[in-house]
Amino acid sequence: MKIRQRIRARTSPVAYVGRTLLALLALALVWYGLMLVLLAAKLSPDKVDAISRYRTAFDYFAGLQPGDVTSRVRLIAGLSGFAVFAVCCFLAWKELPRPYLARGDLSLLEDEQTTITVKPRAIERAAEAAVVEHPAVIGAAARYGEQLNVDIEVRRGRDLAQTMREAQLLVAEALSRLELPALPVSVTLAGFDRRRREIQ
Amino acid sequence: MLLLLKAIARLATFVLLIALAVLGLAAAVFSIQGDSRAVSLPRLAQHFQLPELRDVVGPYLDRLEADGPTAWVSVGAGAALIAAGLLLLAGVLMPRRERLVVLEEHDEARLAARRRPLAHVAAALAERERGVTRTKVRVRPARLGRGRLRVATYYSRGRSPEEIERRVSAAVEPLADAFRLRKRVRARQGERGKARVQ
Repeated sequence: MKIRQRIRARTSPVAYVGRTLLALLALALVWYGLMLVLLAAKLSPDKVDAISRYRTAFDYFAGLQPGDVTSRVRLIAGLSGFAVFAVCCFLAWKELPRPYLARGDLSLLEDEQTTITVKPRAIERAAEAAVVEHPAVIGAAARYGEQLNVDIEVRRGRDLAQTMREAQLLVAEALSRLELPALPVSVTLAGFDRRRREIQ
Repeated sequence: MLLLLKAIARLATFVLLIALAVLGLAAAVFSIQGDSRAVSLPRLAQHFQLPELRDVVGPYLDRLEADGPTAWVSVGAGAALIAAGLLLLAGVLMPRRERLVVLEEHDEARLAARRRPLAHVAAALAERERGVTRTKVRVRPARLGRGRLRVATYYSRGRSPEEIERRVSAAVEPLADAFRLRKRVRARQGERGKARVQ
């Protein structure tokens, strides 16, 4: 039996903030790697410092003394540190992949006394039966998830685009005929029967 | 390769965020006390061994800045940093190549084709032309912009390659146009014993 269940993973749009941070780190690696190469190649340190401030930054941090940490600095460092902690924890949480099962029953009606659901295989069979009515289609395999994906195998290379549009329309009409809710229907060319074409 | 870079970039992002969170928390906690007491920022710097790091990095920078021959080890280290940065950037920014060639896309509904059957369809269209004995087709979806359709076609003796290229190109054109593929057709004379009898 063909396994039709699929596990998908959602990515939060917030995850792109974390990627931006990584991109900034990568840019810093490239930039200061280049500065290291220039220094190692004995370019003037003053020129390298003028464009990158590597020496200025190092001297500033190397020269910090315990007395420089005033109450105001501590307050800023404490609040900023806590803000960084909270934001980075949130972003790291959003980075975690969240797998879920994409295929489930379609609920048509649900109240206190009645529940009407359609099993996903019924929707898939309806789509497959509709698509193979097309003369150019010799096989179909549908998969119902957040949308309806129909993989088709065709016997004719001519008018392929038209065949795929008509296949999509046939599925939409079948869903409508069965009074099922309109679903986004994706059609994918998954096979072409070359052998049959040559025999013909 | 790109898949591996993307996986590394995702892992690196997570590790970076955790590291920043830990540093932020440490900075917040160690701001509670002043001077060099147990929960102070100077004590945090000692826990991270920053004074020792300063004593290593300072003389290293001095040596690097002094006149003399090229420090090849440092050049190598710098080049490695640049390479690591570029690889991370590629993992973050480069889009994955689509596995499907898209015909149309409206909201969530999509008409698309897998590469191999689409190549078979293009080969079938090309082989219908008289004089064509065999074809090899490669379909390559694009990362950005248009994908590519490469057709290498073999023809029987007595045909001109220009004529074969023109006819095969015309045969696959509707398919290439529909799927927004840039097509390239090349004709070669078939080798003895490999060609199909026409």
